[in-house]
Amino acid sequence: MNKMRVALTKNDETKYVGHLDFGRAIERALRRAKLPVAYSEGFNPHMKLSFGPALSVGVASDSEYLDVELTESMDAADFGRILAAKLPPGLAFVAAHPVLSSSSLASALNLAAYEVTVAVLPTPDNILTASNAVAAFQSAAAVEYVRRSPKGEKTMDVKKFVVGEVSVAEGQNSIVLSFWLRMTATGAVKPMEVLSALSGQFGFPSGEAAFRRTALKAETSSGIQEAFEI
Amino acid sequence: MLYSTDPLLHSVAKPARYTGGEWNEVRKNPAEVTVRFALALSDVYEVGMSNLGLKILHGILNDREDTYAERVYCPWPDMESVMREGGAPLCSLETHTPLRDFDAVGFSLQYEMTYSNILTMLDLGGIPLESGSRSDSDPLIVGGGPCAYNPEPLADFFDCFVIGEGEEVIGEMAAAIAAWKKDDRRGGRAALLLMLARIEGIYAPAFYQAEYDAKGAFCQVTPLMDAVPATVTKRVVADLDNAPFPTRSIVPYLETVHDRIMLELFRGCSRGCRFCQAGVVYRPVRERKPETLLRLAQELADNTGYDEISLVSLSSADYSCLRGLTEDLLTRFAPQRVNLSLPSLRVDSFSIELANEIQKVRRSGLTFAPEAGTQRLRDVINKGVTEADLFEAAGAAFRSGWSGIKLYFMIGLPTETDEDVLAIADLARKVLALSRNVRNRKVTVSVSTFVPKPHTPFQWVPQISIAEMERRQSMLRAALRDRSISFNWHDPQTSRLEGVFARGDRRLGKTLLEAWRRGARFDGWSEYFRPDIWAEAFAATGIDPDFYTVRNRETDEPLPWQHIRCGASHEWLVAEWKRSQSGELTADCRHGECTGCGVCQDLGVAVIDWRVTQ
Repeated sequence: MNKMRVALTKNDETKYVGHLDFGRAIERALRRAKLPVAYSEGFNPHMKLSFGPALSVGVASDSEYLDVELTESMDAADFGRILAAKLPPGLAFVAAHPVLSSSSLASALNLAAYEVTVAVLPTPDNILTASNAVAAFQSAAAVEYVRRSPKGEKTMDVKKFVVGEVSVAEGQNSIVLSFWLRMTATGAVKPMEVLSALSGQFGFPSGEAAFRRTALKAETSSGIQEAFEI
Repeated sequence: MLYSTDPLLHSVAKPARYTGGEWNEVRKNPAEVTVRFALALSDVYEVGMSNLGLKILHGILNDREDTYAERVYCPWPDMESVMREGGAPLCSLETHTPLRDFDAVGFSLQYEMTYSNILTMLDLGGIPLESGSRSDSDPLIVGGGPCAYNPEPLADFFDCFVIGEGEEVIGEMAAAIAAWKKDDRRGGRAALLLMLARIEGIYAPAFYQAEYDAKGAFCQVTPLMDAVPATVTKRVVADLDNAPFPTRSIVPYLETVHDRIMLELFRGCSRGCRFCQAGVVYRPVRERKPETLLRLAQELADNTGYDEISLVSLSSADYSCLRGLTEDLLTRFAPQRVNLSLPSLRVDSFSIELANEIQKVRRSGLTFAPEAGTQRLRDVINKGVTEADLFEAAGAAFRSGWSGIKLYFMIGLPTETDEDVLAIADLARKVLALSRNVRNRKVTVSVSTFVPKPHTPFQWVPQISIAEMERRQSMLRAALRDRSISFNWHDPQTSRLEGVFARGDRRLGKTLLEAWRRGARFDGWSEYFRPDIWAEAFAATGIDPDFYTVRNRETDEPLPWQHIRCGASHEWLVAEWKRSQSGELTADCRHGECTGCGVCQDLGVAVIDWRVTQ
């Protein structure tokens, strides 16, 4: 089986493109590129693609992954060059590598790094408030967050999904939060929900926020792996 | 329209409606062009992006070095409210330029129920609503498309209308604007408008006045000066095969209404259904050559990456070389994994054969449009379909593995009786009976309410009242109770308002403005349509909607659109009306004799049918 793993970025221009629309945009780019993509059998054949975990609408990304099954083996550099020329302006090609594994990207990639840029002036006061909020959040045993959707309300413990430390840094006219979130088979929290808990329950200074997923990794029993290693 | 970093986008549904940046978006440096054009449609992005006419105009304008055409659609109500709170103007999708900074904003007028959204867009775009209040620095507001065939209800808000097909005239308009700008805008806005009003097919309502008699009946629209024509004749492209058909279509991220390649086989339809405005105003039939279509299809597939080509026309199955074309398209595109679809089917077995060939996956049902339940009424409307045709087609469809059939009908057609209405249910049950051995069989009966349209043989007839629409709908609902039949109908209030504006006059401008001020938005969307607001607006402006809808008009009554000429003569429309009353059919002129509508002779064009020609 010839499978190519591709890394793309989704920039500010395309961060509002949802997961299904993103998938369709990739299919169309592959068709324009006339790459030898494999199709499923049957009456209604579709491209054999598999995508990494869905990105929330409104979040940009440095690291979207997908696997493309090909009908013939191809040089990864050629593949990347041909695809890159046919990608819409808000999606950029990063890298491609042939892969052998048959594991599903969506379930294997279970750790995501986020960077949240909050438009709050990084004055000493604001930084202190931000750091205190984060410290209190870190030391809390549980942080309940109520997710409201048209389907109803769901209460989640945000802390269960945050891996390691939440860091606070000074940005340009902003305060930047960085943290890792774990995605499980039973659910995940959105970076917006982490920020919302921080500002709503711990007094983190509020301001317009920009979200970016900066990395996706796979945590397995044998350690943490990069997307191209699994 | 907005930079995606704009915080306004955080709180609205589907923000990708507003951010642009799609594949094939045209990027030019606005500083390097003379004319900046915004192409607009007063509905939401997913609808606006599905319009073929705008795609064509967008391509033609952007092929000009001196012009940059961008896109703008109507913000959904949630977006309008955050834009107003944040003081953000309505901007183009490409360069985020406020509408007020364009040289021209051209609206495609597809549906009367989107008129209030035009005012939303002008207002959010920073442009005075009424043409008389605009200054030299405001853009020219232009209307075109099917609703421009009766432009009078919108006359207060538009500087000019383009009547008919835009392929040629849009370039003439851009050239006129460029010349005027290079000449230091000499003579100001009025001079530009006069220059445009002298181009064939352009109607500038400010140069005309509407006259009414003492009782308030419409008399005529007359020019205020000799320099403009007394009647404005539609533009028509004589040689469609050589007309530009852009193939670098923008590929949206969001799923739009028509999210596929649209390949226009031909323009016009001469079947002569007497209720149909498109069948009159797009005459004559002009086909593209099969080889041209194959070339366009390949370019479109290569440039867009779409996996479906829809063969669009008013009645695609009438394309004279359809069998050969579909075979060639299938041979070429099946290996490329691009599917074909036929959006409109004729009620005959040829159409079923074709549908079987091109749609290997029977996922959706097939749609037929008998339009009326009895043969008598189908003869009145000149719909040349018999019950036997329908049963043959439906039977063939079920036998070929289609499990669903959708049937389109209208209620409220002239001369309709209760018997005709109930015959719809009878026909639906007979079609269902043909599917006895089909699993999950389903017959969908979709019934709209007839809205008489200008430039048709039925332009004089009364529309039925709201009470009558409701009575006929409930009669039909009761007659259609069957778990394998589903029944859809149109909201009577919507059909009535559509009827008011379809045959309205200039006096409706103040009603539209009043309704918009009171909050009318997205009137074509049931979740936003507010008949109560419109009732208040009619009362406040002293307009009786019944004057436009339920009243009978004599064939010699002056009509508010009679200064707009589509080529079909008054005499022919009257003759067709009379034939309808005696149930006489009129044949399709496409392969047979001229039936005397007058379009070809009047406009110097001809029917182009490649099978006949070759």
